[in-house]
Amino acid sequence: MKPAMHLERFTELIDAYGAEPRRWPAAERSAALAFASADAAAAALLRNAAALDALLDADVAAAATAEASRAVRLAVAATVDRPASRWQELLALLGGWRIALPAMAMALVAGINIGATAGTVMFSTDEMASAATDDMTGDDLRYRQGFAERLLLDLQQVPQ
Amino acid sequence: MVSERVSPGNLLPLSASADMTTPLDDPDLADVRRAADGDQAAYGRIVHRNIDAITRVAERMLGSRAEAEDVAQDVLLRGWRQTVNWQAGNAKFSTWLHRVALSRCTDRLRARRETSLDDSPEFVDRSPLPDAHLQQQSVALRVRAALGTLAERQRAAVVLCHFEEMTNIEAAAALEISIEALESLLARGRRALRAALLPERAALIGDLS
Repeated sequence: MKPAMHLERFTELIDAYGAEPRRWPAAERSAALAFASADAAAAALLRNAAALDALLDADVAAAATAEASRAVRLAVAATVDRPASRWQELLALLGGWRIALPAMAMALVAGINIGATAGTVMFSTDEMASAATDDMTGDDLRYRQGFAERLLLDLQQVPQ
Repeated sequence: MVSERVSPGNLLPLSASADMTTPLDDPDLADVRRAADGDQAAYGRIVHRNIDAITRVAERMLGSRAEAEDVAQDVLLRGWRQTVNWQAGNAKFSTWLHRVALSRCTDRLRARRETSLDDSPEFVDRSPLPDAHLQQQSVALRVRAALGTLAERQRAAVVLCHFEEMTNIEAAAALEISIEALESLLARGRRALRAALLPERAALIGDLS
């Protein structure tokens, strides 16, 4: 019977996940660490993998300074402000899906055709980007812009 | 009515065995439930927790920041619609978001191949680099270029496991493959990266030092 960790499996782990133990499968990490500290061949494998990891991690550090742009966050916030579909709008009016769905099921059984109202509102990228302004005026526009800005502010204030 | 379980392209619902989670395991679950009832602030928190990771994954898959942001926006809006139908216990919501993002990236890469004779992705960022990060960025750009030469599935596996540090269970669920298949993709991907990058290691390390 093979031990919990052996050279063949350790080699597979390092080939796949690299030299950094935090990237190893949690279920095998302890056994792999113990094996690495006791086997000379394991040390050589780790050195080779660490050389590649060091280069890849330069890109990890570079990406860490970049975050999704404010424009994307604002576009998502602005579009989320409107119901995603007429179904969601209807469900919201009826008190949420937990209440509304059983009622709708009963209505369907009774033969009431509500399919005509079921079209999903789809937005193209351009429509999403301009959703906060294109089809709204007056108080509606101010409300939606206000919500999007508030949500963006909320996003920025959540601790990292 | 047939539930609109969002299925981008051929994306099927996550397998219950792929990424088994309990409600306590998913940091987004409580907010998913609130969002399903129309709580926009709850979905805002989900966006906050996931938007940067999704954008990074898409950028590494596509080699384009602008396209990555389009993908992130699309994915997060689909996520908003998905909250109504979300079934706890099948997978983490963030895993599903990553799965949709990878599907979107695959669609875009396929469209590139169909519209261009040049099969190689554009992985060169021509934006000016700030001086303070110039050397690190030059290595990062070389890494991105090498990453861009990998087969799509290998690239996705390396992006999820190395760069995003997903667990092997989460990454396998996002890619809809077994752990064994994930490890095979990772090993082949790292082998190709090693062949591309290590011969230049001395020069690249010089850039870092």
